[in-house]
Amino acid sequence: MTSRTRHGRRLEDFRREIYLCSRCNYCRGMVRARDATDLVCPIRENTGGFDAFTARGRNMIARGILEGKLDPQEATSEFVDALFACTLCGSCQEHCLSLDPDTWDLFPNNKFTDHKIDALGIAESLRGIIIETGNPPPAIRQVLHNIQLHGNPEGKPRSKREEFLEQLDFQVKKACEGKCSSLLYLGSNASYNQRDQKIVEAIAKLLHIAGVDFCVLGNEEEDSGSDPLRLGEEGLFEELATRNLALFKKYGFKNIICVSPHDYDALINDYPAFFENEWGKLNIKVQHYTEVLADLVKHGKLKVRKTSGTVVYHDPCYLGRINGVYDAPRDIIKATGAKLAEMRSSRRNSYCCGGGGGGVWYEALHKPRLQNQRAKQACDTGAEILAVACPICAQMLEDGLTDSGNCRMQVLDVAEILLNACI
Amino acid sequence: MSNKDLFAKLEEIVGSKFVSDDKFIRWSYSMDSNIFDVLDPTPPAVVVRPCDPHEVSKILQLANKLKTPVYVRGGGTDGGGSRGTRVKESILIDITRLNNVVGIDESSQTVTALAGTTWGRLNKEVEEKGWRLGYKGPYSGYGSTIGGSVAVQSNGYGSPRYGVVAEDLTNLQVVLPNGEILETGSAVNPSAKKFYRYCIGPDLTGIFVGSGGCFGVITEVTLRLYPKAVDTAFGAYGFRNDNSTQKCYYEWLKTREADHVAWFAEDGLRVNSPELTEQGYASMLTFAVEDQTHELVDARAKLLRQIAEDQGGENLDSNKYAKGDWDFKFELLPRWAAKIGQWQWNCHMIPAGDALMDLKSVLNLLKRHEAELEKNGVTHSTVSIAHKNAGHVSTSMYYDQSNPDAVKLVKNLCDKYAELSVGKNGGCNYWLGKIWYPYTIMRNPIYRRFLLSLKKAVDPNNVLNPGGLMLPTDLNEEVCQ
Repeated sequence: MTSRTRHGRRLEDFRREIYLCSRCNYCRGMVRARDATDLVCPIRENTGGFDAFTARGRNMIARGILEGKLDPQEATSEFVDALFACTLCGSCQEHCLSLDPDTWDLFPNNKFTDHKIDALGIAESLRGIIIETGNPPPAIRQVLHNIQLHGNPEGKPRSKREEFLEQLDFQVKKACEGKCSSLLYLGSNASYNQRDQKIVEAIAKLLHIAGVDFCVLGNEEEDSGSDPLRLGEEGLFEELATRNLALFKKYGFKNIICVSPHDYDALINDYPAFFENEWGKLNIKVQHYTEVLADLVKHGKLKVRKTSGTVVYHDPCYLGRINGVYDAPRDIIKATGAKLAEMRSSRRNSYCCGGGGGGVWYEALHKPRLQNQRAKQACDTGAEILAVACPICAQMLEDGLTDSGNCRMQVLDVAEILLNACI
Repeated sequence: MSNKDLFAKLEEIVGSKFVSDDKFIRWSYSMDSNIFDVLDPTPPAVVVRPCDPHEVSKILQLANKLKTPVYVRGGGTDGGGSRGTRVKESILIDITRLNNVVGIDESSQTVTALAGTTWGRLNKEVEEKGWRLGYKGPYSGYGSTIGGSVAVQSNGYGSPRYGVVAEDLTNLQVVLPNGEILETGSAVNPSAKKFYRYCIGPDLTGIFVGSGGCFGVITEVTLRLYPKAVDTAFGAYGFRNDNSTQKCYYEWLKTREADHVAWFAEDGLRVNSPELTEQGYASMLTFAVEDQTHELVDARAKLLRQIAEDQGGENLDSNKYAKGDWDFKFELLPRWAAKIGQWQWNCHMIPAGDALMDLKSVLNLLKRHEAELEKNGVTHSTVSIAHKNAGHVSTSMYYDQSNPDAVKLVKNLCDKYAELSVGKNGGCNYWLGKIWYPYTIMRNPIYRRFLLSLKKAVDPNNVLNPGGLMLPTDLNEEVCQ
């Protein structure tokens, strides 16, 4: 049972959690030696840093709204900027010490979902209120408009969603062309962004080499709705998810392999929470592609030659911290024989690339540019390759590296690294 | 001058990024961790985040010119209510951009850090350089700042051996209300390092310790260092008899050999380790010892264990009951709060030999109100954390802040508790707050008049924390017998 209040994100639903906040300040300023926590909120560190940028401050504001002392209709652009500057990286929730008594015995190994205050849910519900008032930042409004109208954040034509697949040197089956048990769910970023399309290409080739029976939805695929939900547009999420559920049912998939950790998160957490009955009946196993590839390597379905060099891996927030997948990507890198380096802020303490929660489209007033900082952290390890497992992270960190001076590091997805090493 | 003009002037000082008069941003600063703020959350007119003492100085000069009240906030974890009269038309200085360990001076065995540095960061950086702090910070040490701790006089980890935060202080840098920057210890001599407190003249450092920021804004703190600990030892003892607990507690403190001592009294034991209550224990004592050699740790732990056994203490699993409190220091209070709800502390100091008397009386007070507490879902836990020759008795009341009846009950009990423990039992508050002042400062007009004279001399326009230390908001008001 997740502590995240996935369904019904009205602020009122979070009342108990909002009042549980003891204002201990740990989500704002914790530095902890025992697990190398150097910084909790990257947004606070890189903006004006007022409390409103942090979980604690949002709880105070939420309390003010619940008590009628603040009127959301009067929300100012400064507050809206602070609210949408958050990348929902989950670090505040991870470091919040409001833990469920039932899981105390597990302390300090509690999972993300054991933390009692759903800091992300509260942020999302506040965003929902701002969306309702009709005053989100223009860039966010545009993204939501694009998803609603065109089914993708960038507003590109639906008919072009599958176009890039035609350039592959083997044919990727579409669900409408014949039965398959595993759906490779591409998601909007990977379908339209040229950089991310290379990641899909690598994943598809690897699945093809390993003989996995998979297909894609092509132009039928809908955005997962993860972004609308994170941005506070619950209605749009429900619309998109309903259409996806109908497609999953129509084709009878038994497995879904997600390219994006954000879609993975939506499918394993939000779909079951919002559509418990429908989702339960489908009985679908959802995995991130790194889990699938790691398994294929482990069972000898993918033969890998040993390579050299040093690779540093960046944990995507929605794969690692929020959903606990840390080892599969690392196992893949290690299988290639590359030396795996770690940044100081890794695993549960991973530093956000800046792209989540709408950050890939929205540049806050004081431009935190977390991607530059994360790229620098990676460069400081001396590795030649920065490995990612998320299309958004790939975009953001490539951007970050352009500002990194003499660093010659290359950003590659884990799938690309594996494909290069495949025999 | 309008708020708009004030904002523009502050913008000139710190830059537009670090000043805000936005209603929602200001509201996020409306409440610290104490019940007074729960009852009356009040946002300031402007929040400003200076980055160094010079910016603080300019802000105070401006405030003096405009006669605008200034409050300073560190971690915002103040549980006692040290802030004075809340004024809406005020400037709130968020001091947390002054967040840096300036340096460790090996020759004087001291560390200097900016006031907005958290205890968590200071401990980490000091230990990475092969040293350790004596007093390590309050229970909220991952959130609270060292400047805030000095201003409200905090107690916590390391106190049985090293005392409260004030006792390892060698120098403070303080921005006075007129904007001048004062050094209080050996750094008064421009050629000297910040290594010694009691020199040059009277101990000015002490004026700012526990001042609630009424006399100046602390911007930098220098503390003594000790060699890094290489080993730790722990002990946990169950007692079936309160008198034996008291004797053991007293003797442990007398040795000054424990780095941490906690006495889990009746309700504290029931809340934290109910299985021990079920096994018939009346209370539990735990200790932690750390030191620079294994031999020293062994010898000190052996002494403490012998005392416990001589007093009939039954050896419990120290890994379970004592180690976690030390290894996960600064992580327990928020977890306890999460178990039940927001907490309100009622901490006070009591002589080591009087701890049982005090504990019994506060437990009796709680028992008299048990029905009301239960009805409103308020749980309590009484623990005595030791400080050298004193016990720091603390009842945490966990309550749901969304329940107005629970809030009222807790506030009412806090008042009764202070009246009993400080007013009658002879305890004293070690940190600041409106909870205790009626029974200390307000009962001693000579002390109060002296504070008032000091305030008039240092801050004639009463801009810094007006009403703090329960001083009159009009400084010309007479303080009568």
